[in-house]
Amino acid sequence: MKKLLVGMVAALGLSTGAAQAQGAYPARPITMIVPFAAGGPTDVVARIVGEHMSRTLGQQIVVENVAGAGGTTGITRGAQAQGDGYTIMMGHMGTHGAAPALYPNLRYDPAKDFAPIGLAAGTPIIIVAKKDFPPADLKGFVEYSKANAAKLNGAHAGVGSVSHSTGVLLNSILGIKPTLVAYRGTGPALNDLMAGTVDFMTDQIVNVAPQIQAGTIKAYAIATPERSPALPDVPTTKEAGLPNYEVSAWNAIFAPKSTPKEVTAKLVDALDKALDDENTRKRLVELGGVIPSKTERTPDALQKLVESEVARWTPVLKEAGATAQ
Amino acid sequence: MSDMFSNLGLGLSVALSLQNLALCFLGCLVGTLIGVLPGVGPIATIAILLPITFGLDPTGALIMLAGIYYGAQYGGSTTAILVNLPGEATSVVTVLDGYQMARQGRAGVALGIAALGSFFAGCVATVAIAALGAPLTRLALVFGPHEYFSLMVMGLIFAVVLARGSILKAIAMILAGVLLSTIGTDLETGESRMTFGLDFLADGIDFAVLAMGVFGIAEILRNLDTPETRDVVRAKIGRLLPDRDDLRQSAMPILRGTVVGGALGILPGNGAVLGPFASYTMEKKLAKDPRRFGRGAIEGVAGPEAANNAGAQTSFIPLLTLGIPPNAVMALMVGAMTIHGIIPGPQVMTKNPNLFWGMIASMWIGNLMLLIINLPLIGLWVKLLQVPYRLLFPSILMFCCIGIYSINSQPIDVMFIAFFGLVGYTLLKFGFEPAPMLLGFVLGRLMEENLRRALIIARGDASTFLTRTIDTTAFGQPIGIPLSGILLGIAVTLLVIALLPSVRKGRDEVFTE
Amino acid sequence: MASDDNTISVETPRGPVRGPQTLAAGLVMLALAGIALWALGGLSSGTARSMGPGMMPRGLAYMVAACGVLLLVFGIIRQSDPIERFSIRSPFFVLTGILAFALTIRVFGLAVAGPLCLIIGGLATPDARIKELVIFAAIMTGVCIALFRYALNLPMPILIIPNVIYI
Repeated sequence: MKKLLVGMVAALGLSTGAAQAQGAYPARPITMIVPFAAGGPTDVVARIVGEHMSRTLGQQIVVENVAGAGGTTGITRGAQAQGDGYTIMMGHMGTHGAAPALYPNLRYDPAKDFAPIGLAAGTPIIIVAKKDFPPADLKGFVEYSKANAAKLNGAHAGVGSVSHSTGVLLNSILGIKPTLVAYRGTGPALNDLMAGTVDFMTDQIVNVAPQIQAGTIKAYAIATPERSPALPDVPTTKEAGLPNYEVSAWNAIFAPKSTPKEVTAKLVDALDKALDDENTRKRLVELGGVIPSKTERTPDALQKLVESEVARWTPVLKEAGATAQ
Repeated sequence: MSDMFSNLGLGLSVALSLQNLALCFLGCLVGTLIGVLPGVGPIATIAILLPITFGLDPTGALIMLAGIYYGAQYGGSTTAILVNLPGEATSVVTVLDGYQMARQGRAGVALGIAALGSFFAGCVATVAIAALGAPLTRLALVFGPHEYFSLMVMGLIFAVVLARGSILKAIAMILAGVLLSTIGTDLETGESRMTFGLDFLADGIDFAVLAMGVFGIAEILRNLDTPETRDVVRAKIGRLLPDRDDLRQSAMPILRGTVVGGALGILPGNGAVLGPFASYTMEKKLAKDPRRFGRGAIEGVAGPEAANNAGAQTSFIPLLTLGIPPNAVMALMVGAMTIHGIIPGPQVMTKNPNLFWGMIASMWIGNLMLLIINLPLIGLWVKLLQVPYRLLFPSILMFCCIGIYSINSQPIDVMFIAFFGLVGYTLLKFGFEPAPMLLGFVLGRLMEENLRRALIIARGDASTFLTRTIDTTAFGQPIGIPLSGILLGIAVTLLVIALLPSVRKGRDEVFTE
Repeated sequence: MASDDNTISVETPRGPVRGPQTLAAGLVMLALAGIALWALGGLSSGTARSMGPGMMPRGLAYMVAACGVLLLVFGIIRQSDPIERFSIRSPFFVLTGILAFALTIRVFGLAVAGPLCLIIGGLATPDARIKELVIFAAIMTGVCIALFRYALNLPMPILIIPNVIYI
């Protein structure tokens, strides 16, 4: 015990010295807020990218999961944090796109309260249905769902989830109002889809790909410009005749607004290096992730993306009458 | 059968490699540690240890993470027995008789029987996974919203049986628990319910916060009120391990608990939480003298602990064979697997037989390790009770605060354990018991969600719960089994059995057991 | 809430409890139901076809209220135990200790929040000894830092002194 105390005192002394040196950023570990529970798609992306960024920055990036209210709890805390570069956050389509429509009392503005760092990875959205759902392809799906809208049951993982927002968007493009059945998370929703209790849903590729490969559910289309190497047989929405439905659950790193330029520049550079790294890329691609090109991962591109996403989701979600709080 | 043995042989050859043995041991050790620390759950720990496993091969990494998971289940019963703190929903039941045993100086016996029961259940469940894993998954798909709702109704009836005092008060507590579970953002519409405009209530009340408040903190407050009884525990240490009589009394409960817990663990949507409750109810109903329950009956520890561990093991079945995580920890395991480039799904068993069978074999080895780690520790744990209460309770307080804070890094969660501690203290003063409330809380949310889901799918026709059938074939003939209706029937029967004796006893005791 | 009888609360026998305690229990349930109904406000109950967010909680609140009324009736017609005495000292110190932890953990870190919680909480018992508590708090905090931060690697601040130290 005594030894431990002595060690602690020594450690305290050492780190004081380090902090007082006030060397170049970063002088101590950086906290990355992930606004979702550990193990989810956003968390996995944050940990994979964060691991490589730590190596470039020479300081560990510690992931802190602050889950709640569709991710807005964690992002609110991040937005209000000191802009010293020691708190950054992993935002995503929900927190920086759909949230303003879903949460009227949102205490941050996705487009104004952040210093964007860059896009980390996108996860494509796939339209899936139970395996004995009659239509054979996306065209058939569109016709069938328009003709039988009253009978249809669409599953989603709760208001504010990616599968909910993207599902509402699909319904609005098709002009149908199927009955929506809410689940707590993707797992239970998929379970009932496999059992045939519900008819269809939209969700991120990482959640549904193994089931599609095993043939327990069927896929109609992937909502990205290009096919995914994980599921080469699934056509894109453009190929299959529904070009308007193009959507991806993107994840991107943000810093608080007041973070100085020279600090954000270092973070931008570290992210860029991470996304160029062979091993990191491989990991993200295995998840079905799409890695942004050089031009897509700049702070400016991210700022534009956030603005366009807010503009896109607000009318769709408002029309569907979905609000939280 | 021979297939199973060759598969298990393959698994053992993977799990017995030096590296995997070491990882399994490390996982079990860390799991025991976090299970013992109140509040710190397997979710936070697995999340934090994920990056450390980056450098390992996927099989080794998953063996270690799985070890943390069932190690935590083991360790969780330790705090439940010693200081009345259920770390997880599944150890609420262990508190009832385990803590009473500890107060009677039988902490060592309670811990010992919990460890032995868990070990037995773990071994049986592992073999069950190996032998029946694939066919059992069909069961998971049979359970839709209808069946789930009926199962939850049945679970709430168990809670009535769980009560030891006034039945009316128990029912009031169950209803209050269900009511508490509805706080937060509505899943279907996104509207907020009873949040008083407070952001931190948007996701509802966290189970760990509620349990720590109404059990742990409230118990400290109650102990402080009665200085003359609280150090009694210190004086009496008693035997450290169960003797022949204890084992004889516990053998059948452990066996029954294993079967019940294992079966419920297979269900998707966290059916495993029902296991310990069901086992406790069963033992209480089968006992010659049900009055012993709640006052330190060893069967009330042995059965539920076995059910708990069996469920923890079999809940890997939907994950490994369907790729569907039945609870939050399993969802995290999915995350861990994906990080390692293995996307769990129906094909894992055929595509990665080494990983699949290696993990299953390691579960058995892990259970053995847990027994070896835990039995010698019992002496140490019991010694902890000899720390004077004036120092023991502030330490529990501090561990609770740190543990709760570590879940979400939210100071407000810490404040809430103070609030619920006060609530629990008040309830105790008015003769209410917290256990039925917690059960209502755990099952309530599942019940409401599935009720609404089922009604939406049936377009509002409530008879769906009685008429919906599951199609199967028996003797070559297609038949439909009204599973949901059967479950509801069992629930009604149970309720009648629970109420009848007290009704018969005459008006004076209508609402007391 | 507090009753004026001065029975030192001994472990009350479990089993039948009627009278004032039951009556008070009924009032607690009625109050809970009342708060719930008030908090639900105008939340829609919906229809069976699509249950609204208010239906289940509202139904539950009425059932809790019904239990409350029954308890009230039993409390009036049956005699029973008195209400146990509420103490002030222990809840005060225990709850203050927890609150102190919550308020300081993010501002000053575990090295401050931990001992604060332990010492304030420790004062809840009349036989507390300050010196012993302080030494014990120092040791336990060291153990906790080693355990939670280093062994389990949980992300929580150890010691923060603004602009000087951040670990």
